[in-house]
Amino acid sequence: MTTMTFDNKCFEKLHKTEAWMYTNVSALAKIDFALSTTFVDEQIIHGFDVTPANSFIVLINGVFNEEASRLSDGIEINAAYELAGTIASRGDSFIPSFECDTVTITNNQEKTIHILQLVTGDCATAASGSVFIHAKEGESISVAETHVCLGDSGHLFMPLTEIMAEKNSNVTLVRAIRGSNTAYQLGQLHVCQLDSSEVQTHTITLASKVSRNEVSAYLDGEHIESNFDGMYMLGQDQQVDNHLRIEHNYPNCNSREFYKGILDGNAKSVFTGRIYVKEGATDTDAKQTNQNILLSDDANAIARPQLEIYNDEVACTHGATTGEIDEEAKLYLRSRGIPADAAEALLMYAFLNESLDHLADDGFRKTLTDELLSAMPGGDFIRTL
Amino acid sequence: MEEDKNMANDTKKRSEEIKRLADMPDAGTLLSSSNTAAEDTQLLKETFNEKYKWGFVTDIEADSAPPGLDESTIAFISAKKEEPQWLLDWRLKAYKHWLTMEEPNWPHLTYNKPNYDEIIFYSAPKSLTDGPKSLDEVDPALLETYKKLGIPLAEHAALAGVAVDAVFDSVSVGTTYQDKLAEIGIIFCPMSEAVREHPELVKKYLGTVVPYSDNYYATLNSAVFTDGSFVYIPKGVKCPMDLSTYFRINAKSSGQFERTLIIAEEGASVSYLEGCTAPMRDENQLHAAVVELITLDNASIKYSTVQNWYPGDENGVGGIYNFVTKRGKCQGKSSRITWTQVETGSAVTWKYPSCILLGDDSVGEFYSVALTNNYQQADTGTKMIHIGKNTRSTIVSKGISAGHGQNIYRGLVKIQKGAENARNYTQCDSMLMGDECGAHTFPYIEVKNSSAKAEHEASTSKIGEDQLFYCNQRGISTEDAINMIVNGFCKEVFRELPMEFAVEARRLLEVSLEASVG
Amino acid sequence: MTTPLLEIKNLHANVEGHDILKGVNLTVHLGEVHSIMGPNGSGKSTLACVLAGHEAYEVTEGEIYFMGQDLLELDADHRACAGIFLAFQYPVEIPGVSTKFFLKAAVNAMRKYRGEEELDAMDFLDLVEEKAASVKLNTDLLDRGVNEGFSGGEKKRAEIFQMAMLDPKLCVLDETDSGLDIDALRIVSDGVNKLRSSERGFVVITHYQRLLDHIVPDFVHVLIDGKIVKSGGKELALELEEKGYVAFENCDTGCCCG
Repeated sequence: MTTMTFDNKCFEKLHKTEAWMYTNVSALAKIDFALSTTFVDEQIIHGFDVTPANSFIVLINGVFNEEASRLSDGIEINAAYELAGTIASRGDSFIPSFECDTVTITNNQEKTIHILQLVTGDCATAASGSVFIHAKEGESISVAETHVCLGDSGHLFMPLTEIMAEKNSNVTLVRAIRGSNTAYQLGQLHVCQLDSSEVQTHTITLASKVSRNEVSAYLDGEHIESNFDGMYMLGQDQQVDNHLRIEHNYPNCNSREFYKGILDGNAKSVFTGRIYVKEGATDTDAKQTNQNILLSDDANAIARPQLEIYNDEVACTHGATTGEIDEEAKLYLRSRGIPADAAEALLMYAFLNESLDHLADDGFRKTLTDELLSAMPGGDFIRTL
Repeated sequence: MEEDKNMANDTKKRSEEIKRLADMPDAGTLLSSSNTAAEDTQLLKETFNEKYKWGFVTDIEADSAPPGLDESTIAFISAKKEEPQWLLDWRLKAYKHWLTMEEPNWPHLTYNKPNYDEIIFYSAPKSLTDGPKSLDEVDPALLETYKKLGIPLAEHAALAGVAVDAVFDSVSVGTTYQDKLAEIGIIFCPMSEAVREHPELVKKYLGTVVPYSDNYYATLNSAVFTDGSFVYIPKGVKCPMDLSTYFRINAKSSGQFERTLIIAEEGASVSYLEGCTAPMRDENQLHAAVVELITLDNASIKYSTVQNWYPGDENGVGGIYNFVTKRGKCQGKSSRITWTQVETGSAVTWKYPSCILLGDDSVGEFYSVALTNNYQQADTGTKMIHIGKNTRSTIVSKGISAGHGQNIYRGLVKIQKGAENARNYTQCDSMLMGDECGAHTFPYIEVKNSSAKAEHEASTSKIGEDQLFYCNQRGISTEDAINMIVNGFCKEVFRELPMEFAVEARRLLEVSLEASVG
Repeated sequence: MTTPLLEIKNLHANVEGHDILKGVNLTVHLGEVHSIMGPNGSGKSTLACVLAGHEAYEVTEGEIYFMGQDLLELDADHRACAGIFLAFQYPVEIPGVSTKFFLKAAVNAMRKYRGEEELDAMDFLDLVEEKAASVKLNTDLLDRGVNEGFSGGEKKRAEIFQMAMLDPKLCVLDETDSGLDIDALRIVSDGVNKLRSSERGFVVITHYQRLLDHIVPDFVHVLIDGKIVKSGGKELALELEEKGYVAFENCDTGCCCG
């Protein structure tokens, strides 16, 4: 096993910066994280392998597991890929990165490639894992990542994904955070797009104690379509921090940020979506939306939908709403004879399921829907429908 | 008994809460961009056809403190004002705290930090050293200045029905209508006079909304504040006229640090207007004011500002640094505080008039128009802190950027756990003119109550070619059409202003926008 | 012969490099109503925009005279002041600018141009009420922003109302009938007919003949591919209705004129 070190002291004062002001991870500075890989039972891996007909890549504590994986053309492990790391280096993320295996995905990949990243260990373990997706001109790639911390030892997972979408290419990425509710997940996603490319990403947070999902996108061409959406259903002391920055550098691009979630217990959601429109990036159309429903008086929703605009030929809008379940809709359902609890569950499901509706892959979607229903109050009722 | 104790605890908790909430985020938003070097020189030349017409310097002898700040300067100011010991102590406490603080970096602004060693912290027109007894004793040159500013100070005041307190550099030079207002129990006077005549009120309320330790500029103000207005509206009294203050920085190298305190007792109401100008100078001058508003049960205060400090020249040289802390506390039930501001001046503006909605059913409102042209920068917005039940707040912000101007809306809406059924509606609209300016929106929305609703909407627009053509086709010139469309854009804010202020605001916008498009 | 109200000679115009008008000739005298009909894309709306002085349209050849004055020398607002009114096909919304305020600015800009005294508020409001009644326009609409949140029919009625307010010499109606139901069409047409006089000329641009049942033209011109291919009396509109534009596509000016 390679020994790796990273300086977890960097977490100590992170919350004093504007970018982290609502997410305090200083506790991580005090933990002595193990940095090793261990054995994971085949059955556990099998349980996460929801699309057996598709390529499947397993990383355990950032280390590729060949036995459990099914590779296909265009998938390589630790290939010396020049571009890897170059998109991430354009950003200014405070999340440390350290040595781990890198999965590179190229060629046309119409069938969704499933990447399972597990973090496990008897004591608190820190791991990283890296994915580089490169769609060349006209290519189309679909990837689904599942990030799982196993057990309740309070692991720290810092995954890094980069997407390079060249001319006329199309990339779809789903990232689902599942598993332990004691883990810290600090993830980065960096996207670079060229002319007429399309990228859709879906970030679904259903687990972890603190989950920070950073997205930086660089729209380096014209006529680009970028869609970033996210969904979360959290309770107890869980926290999610979706932190986005979309950079419009050229004219005629459209971007959408659409994040919504439900918070129960003491859960907290932070959304920061910054749209940056450079001088000369005319005819930019950018929208960002964050919607929250609070189920408890101890839940907390924070939204920072930010616009930074240096150009007058733009249409940028942002919206943020926080509130309860729509009383009128509830009343309407009840007037049709549906009991209050059921009406609430239905409305919550409708609110969140919109995000899952966009997912193409059935096996994957089914699993996530199932997971959502388990996390959602009244989910069992929905199952009976 | 038990109940009383609980209540006392509650109150204590609340006041601690307020203290905690008072701070804007203290971490830094890094500047990600500055103005481009590429300059449309022709546009610039045209843009400043209309020079800052309020930029005259009044030639009068001033009685000043030496530049720089130490404890002796503060003692000097305090002595000049014949202040009681408790106030001097308070000032010194603030000063000591200020020395431990750092100038904030988080605003989206680029400027050279003021050199506090070179600022004159106290400057009084010499002829006033002994204090004017009446308007007749005021230096005629001063009165001439006010005339140029169009302030209805003397007889004009009666006609206009506006009571004016004018603050010139550091001292208040005359308060009109004082006697008439006193008949119904209203106190309207310079802060220094209030310290002497109504120390119990000043002591009771000063620093209760903006504590001396609040933020860098407010703390500095607490140490060195020179004058300002004091207003006290007794129980049940509706102030029969608009009260007004006109601020002007005149002396070279001087800073202005006025402090205003307005208290509306139960069921009282008042509308207060504030206007500002400064002469043209090629150096940057500092204005770090503090305004505190307090409303008790069913009281209301409407505070309107038209800010026209010198914005600097077309190359961004000179101009006022306007670093102001304004905050109101709706302490009583069903009380209301409304901030309306039209910001067209200053080189750099840093200002967030805020409301702490403590009383149940209280209402906070913020209506703002901010215009930045040439190299002006404004980082402005509000904070609405919902603590009481059924509290409501409305934020309407209209930012207009032209030339190389940078216009930032920054606003915090915080709904606390106990703020059942709190409601906030925020609307931020930006209008850009040209492609070298910037319009930015940085809202912070924090909701901790499930029955609360916060809504935020933002839009960015420009004046459409088709709108201009439509106006032209109806015989309206392009310039008039631009003014008309900009006015329409700002309408929701202008209608909150008292009539004569709305007229002035429109005119200021027109002057500030002259030739910035087309 | 008196000076024509409008005289267009061999007008060529393009937009974004595309030639749209390719030699239009048209003469309108005071008191006349001319209808210009043509299929989509024939250049009807371009002609309206060029007359009103839209900067996106470039005149590459030809001349336009308005009451003997070279129109091409004037900016859009001066053309309006000179007496050209364009009723837009799609009137733009100007949020926050109240219609009354807007119209007062327009009325007074024109009065000033003509060297007349500006209207005071009282006289202006009297005028508003009188003219609004003539097109059955709800005056509540006038307190809203210009065209802000108006329905399609309200927008068109507001255009005719503005026309009545501004008392132009030449009215250009650009597909005023589009999007109107039969009742609204009647109200708008009645409004226009009331404005017909020997002191005014009209250019009515339309795709369909039905508007001309209500506003009966003195002359009808068929515009196809940037040229007027046929001119005639009001019966030409009926012929068009019957035969369709296809029948006229291959004829040049004059060839099938009886």
